[in-house]
Amino acid sequence: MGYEEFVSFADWLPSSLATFGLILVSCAFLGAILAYLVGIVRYGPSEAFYKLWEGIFQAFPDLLFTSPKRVAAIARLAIQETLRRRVLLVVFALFALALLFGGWFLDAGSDHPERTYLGFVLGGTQFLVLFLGLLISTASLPQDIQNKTIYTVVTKPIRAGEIIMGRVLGFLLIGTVMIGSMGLISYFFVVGGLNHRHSVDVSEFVRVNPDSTDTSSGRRASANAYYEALSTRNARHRHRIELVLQQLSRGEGGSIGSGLQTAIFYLQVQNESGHTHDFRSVGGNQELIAGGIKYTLFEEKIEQKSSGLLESLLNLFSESRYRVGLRMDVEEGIFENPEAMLAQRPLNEVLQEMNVTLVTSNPQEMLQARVPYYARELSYLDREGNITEERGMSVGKMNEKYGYIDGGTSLARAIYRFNGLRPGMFSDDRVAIDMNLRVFRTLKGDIIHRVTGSVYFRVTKEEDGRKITYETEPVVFESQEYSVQTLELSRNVVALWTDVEGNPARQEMDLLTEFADNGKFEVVLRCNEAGMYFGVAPSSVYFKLRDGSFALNFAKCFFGIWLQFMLISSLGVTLSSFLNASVSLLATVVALLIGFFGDFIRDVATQQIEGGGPLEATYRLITQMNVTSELEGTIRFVSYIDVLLVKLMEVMTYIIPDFTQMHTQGPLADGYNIPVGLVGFHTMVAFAFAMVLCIVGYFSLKTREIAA
Amino acid sequence: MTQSSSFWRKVIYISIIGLLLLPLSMLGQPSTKSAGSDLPDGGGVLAQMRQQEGLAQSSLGDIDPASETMKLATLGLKGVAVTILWDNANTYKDEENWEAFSATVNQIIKLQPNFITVWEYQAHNIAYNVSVEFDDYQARYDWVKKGLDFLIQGLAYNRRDYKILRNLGFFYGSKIGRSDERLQFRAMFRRDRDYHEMLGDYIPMGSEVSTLYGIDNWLVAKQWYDKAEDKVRDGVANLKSSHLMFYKDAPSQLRNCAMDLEEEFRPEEPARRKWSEALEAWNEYGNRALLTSWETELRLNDKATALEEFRRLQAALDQLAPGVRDQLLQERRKKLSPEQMAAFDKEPSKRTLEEVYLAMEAEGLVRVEDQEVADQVPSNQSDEGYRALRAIQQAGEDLRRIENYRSQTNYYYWLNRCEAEQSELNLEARAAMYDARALNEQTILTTTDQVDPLTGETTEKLGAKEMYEKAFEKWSEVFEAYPVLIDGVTAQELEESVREYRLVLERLVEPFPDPFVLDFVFARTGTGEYAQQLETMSNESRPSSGGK
Repeated sequence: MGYEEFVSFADWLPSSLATFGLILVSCAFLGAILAYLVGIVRYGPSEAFYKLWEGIFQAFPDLLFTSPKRVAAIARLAIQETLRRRVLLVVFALFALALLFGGWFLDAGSDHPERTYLGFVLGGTQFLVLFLGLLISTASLPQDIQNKTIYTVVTKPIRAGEIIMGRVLGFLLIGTVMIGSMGLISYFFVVGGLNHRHSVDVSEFVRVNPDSTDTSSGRRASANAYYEALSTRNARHRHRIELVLQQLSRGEGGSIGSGLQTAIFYLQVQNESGHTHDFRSVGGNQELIAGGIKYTLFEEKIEQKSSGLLESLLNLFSESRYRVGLRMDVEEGIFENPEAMLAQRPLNEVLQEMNVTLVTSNPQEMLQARVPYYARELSYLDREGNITEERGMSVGKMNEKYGYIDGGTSLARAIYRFNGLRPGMFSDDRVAIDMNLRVFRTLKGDIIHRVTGSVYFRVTKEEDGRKITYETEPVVFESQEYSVQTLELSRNVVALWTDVEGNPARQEMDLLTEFADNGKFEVVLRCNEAGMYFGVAPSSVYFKLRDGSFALNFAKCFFGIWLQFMLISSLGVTLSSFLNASVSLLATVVALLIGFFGDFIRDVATQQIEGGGPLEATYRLITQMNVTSELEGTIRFVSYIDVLLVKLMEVMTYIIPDFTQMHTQGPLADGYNIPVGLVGFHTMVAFAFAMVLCIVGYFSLKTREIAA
Repeated sequence: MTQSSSFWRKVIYISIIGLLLLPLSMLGQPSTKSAGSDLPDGGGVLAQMRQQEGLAQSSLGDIDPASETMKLATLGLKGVAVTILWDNANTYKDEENWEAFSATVNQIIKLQPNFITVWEYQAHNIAYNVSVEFDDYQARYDWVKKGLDFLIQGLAYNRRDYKILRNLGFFYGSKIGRSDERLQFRAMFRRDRDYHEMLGDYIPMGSEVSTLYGIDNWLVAKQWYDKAEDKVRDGVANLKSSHLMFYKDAPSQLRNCAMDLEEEFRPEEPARRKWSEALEAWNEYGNRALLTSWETELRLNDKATALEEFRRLQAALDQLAPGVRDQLLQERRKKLSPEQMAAFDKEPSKRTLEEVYLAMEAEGLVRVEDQEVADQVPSNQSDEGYRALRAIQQAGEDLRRIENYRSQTNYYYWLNRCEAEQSELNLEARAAMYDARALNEQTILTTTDQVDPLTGETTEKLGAKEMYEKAFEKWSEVFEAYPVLIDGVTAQELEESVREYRLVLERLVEPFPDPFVLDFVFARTGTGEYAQQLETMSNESRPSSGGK
């Protein structure tokens, strides 16, 4: 989820540029040596030396005086040629067919249908686009050379580099149009496929007790819920709608016994299939006076915070969000508790008399782009309260991403150190902490309630030469496993500390401006229950700054596919400048596989995956030999050959960029914003690689020209 | 190479290809459907073999276009694709990526839709292994349902199979009704209207599955078991498992339902009615002719007849050698120790656990074998004696088989339990226990006087302690009336109640009663000593102001 270990673009660029320059120079030097060696074989040492220098000296003016006009002309030619081949039509038809019929098989009733939808469109687009890139880029130059149509070009005053760049540019323009249109169609396919509304029959509201399991749905009512109803069934699910108590105010003095004056409830749609809904506007406030109580059904528009012009613009097109609630006012305080107030008249009767129609909005918290602010560091305290080097405790799970802290009287804690949070990052005087925890029980415990934990803020400041530790009062929460739970907290916190005289002190402070020490403070997490454990990872706790635009996030993800297309196109064009069509196609496919399965190849090379290299694995497959059995006899020689092959493949993984990194489907589907810096990082890597490829293509085409 | 030799070579190649096509056609020609017939006929050797063995896709179950497309798309590498997908599914499970796991399992099943074990394994994986990974019992319930839904999908592809139906019965019964969260699961299941509607497409969802409190998972389980029985009865599927176990499942669900109703609601008429139905179904099961592993049939209810026959034959043998059996018995009795003798002579239902063991030892020592009696038949009737012996041995074997089968299913216990549970006495005992637990939960530990605000009358309201005592009194009467329940699970169930009662007493700082009304029960089940140990421990930890 998200990118907790991502280095900012500003930090990454300077150091990477230096490394890139060094590698470029080294490659150029090695390339020159290689070219000279080949030249020796073909022309003899002195002639080769002469040709090498000639080539290098010609390269500078060729590259420096590249004519955009001629590049554009070649690009136009490449586009025309591609259009003539009708491959675009085939790819687009396949895409359209996939969307038309593939949609039938997508499981809209799963826990997270958005992941299924996004996986389908992004996976499909990526496959088709890369397939297109392969076909058009690898076949173009060899066909021209084979048909001798290349001579009509090279006889013109045009440079080899311009031919390469023009072709790459032409294919890129085609790819841009294709990916752009596919992205747009995919966006509407996903949004349209997932959008749905529910309505609520107000007569179906029935009374429930807070936190009770004795409800009409059999599900547990929220801690402050007093009524529940089920929505209509749509998209293969229903939602439970609860009337939850938000606020109570009493008469004079506000003490118990003075009677209630106002009770404010909200209608909340409970999460189902990984999403919830707001309500659509109920047409303004509606009032009813009955039994001495004034009932007001009200609606509040929920304001969306945006960052940047584009995000604000995109938010304009999104549906307005409303919160619908019921306010009950009594002139004289005759009711002591909300139950007594609600007993006066059933909610269903009140809403029926108001003639209210409740219809939900489209899904919320489904297609989102949370903007997280991650901690700089996560550390763990062990059971005795000492800082431990280990990443929490292991509870024996295969997934080692999460370290566990135990609860009860244990002093085990997870401490997230934040730095740099500013008031301007949040829309109002509240902060939101998102948590994505794992829970492990060593005993059955309370089945009905989820394991509880608490969160508090902590900071140590140096004052008058003394170190004082400030802590806030803990906020207790019930954990929600395998989902992101948000704790909305006021920025005004009550800080507790021990003063100079050793007396306990407390004071209200602003979390970000007063409590934090120059923007630094810690979020401390503990598990409250004995025998229970919380599993945490660095990305498990973060501050949610806002909800970004999903459309923009979607576009960033498609941009990643575009970068992959660019890499494939430039690789295909470069390889086809010195290989024939089928060989360059094969070579590009191999490069693509290395780009996608680099991790796997490295695991094979470092023998983390058993079974040996390609030859040994083939032998084992054919003979149905176990991967752990040793090869015996003369056949062992294949493993020696494999060492060389695997090493070669491993080296290639460091040369060819990791294509999977540019595929940002994971955070998009999980609902996390893809950082602009990350997109910049991917862009730089892809452009640098494409540039190097163009230079290689230039030299190889030039060599080929000479040979021709 | 001349042009003509090249031409002839091509002709030879084409001829060989043409010749090879002939056997290929004979082997692989697909079957065709004749007009007016649902079943395909004819076709090549392979098609005919498929048809004969019932392996043709159309005879196994529905043909899913998505499944067939996926199989086709693997270009013959289905095995490799399935291996990769299984590997992926395991990885996703390790990574706790449940969405991806679920999606991968669905892909696997598209490639292997007729592989029953895959359906069973993965449904179990989802309903049992994945569901427990969630802390929220509601999420666990949802994943249990996903596992069940997954298994239901398998029905359409495997119409000639009964195992999926049996598994469905098992999952609906035991996963929902026997988990740690069974109270919550059952409550949610009762109110899951949409789910009931979906189930209505497969099984009857009317009064067959309903009680006064709503739709019951055990009764739904019974419907699945009934469907499995229907398939076997109609000859659609061949029963390849133990008949004893196969036919036991459906009737067992009724008593499971009754037991859970008694635990969740105050035991009243609905539970009694279910016990009555359970008895009827259990009796039907006892009357069913079951094919045994000796390839003979037997009926569990035939025990009395078989025993009668056995005794008749023994009596016939005894007539041939009058007084021999008694004489041998008396001689051997003399060798018993006084304890063994006392235990042996005591009425079986009154024996303590120790006496049960002693009596068993004694029985072994005094047993007179029929062979010994036959050996002493006068020589002029010797042949007749040995014929009688063989008849006895055969009758004994029949009896042993019936007894063996009855003990495997605890048949006699459940028969008695179903009968006992319907009695007023039993209902009262259970109702008192239910009330005692409710009072305990409300922390009304002992009897209090309650004044009616309207009439001013004072009434005595029993507390948990007195209610438990009342319940134990009733239970002792139940055990007197149905001693067989002492040896079954009923007495074990009571242990928990005794523990609760003990805690109530501890909170009231009162000693555990000595003698206790159910002492004879726990002495019999061997938990008497355990209870005493608990008592000792609690006394040791209690301050000196305690009861002793």
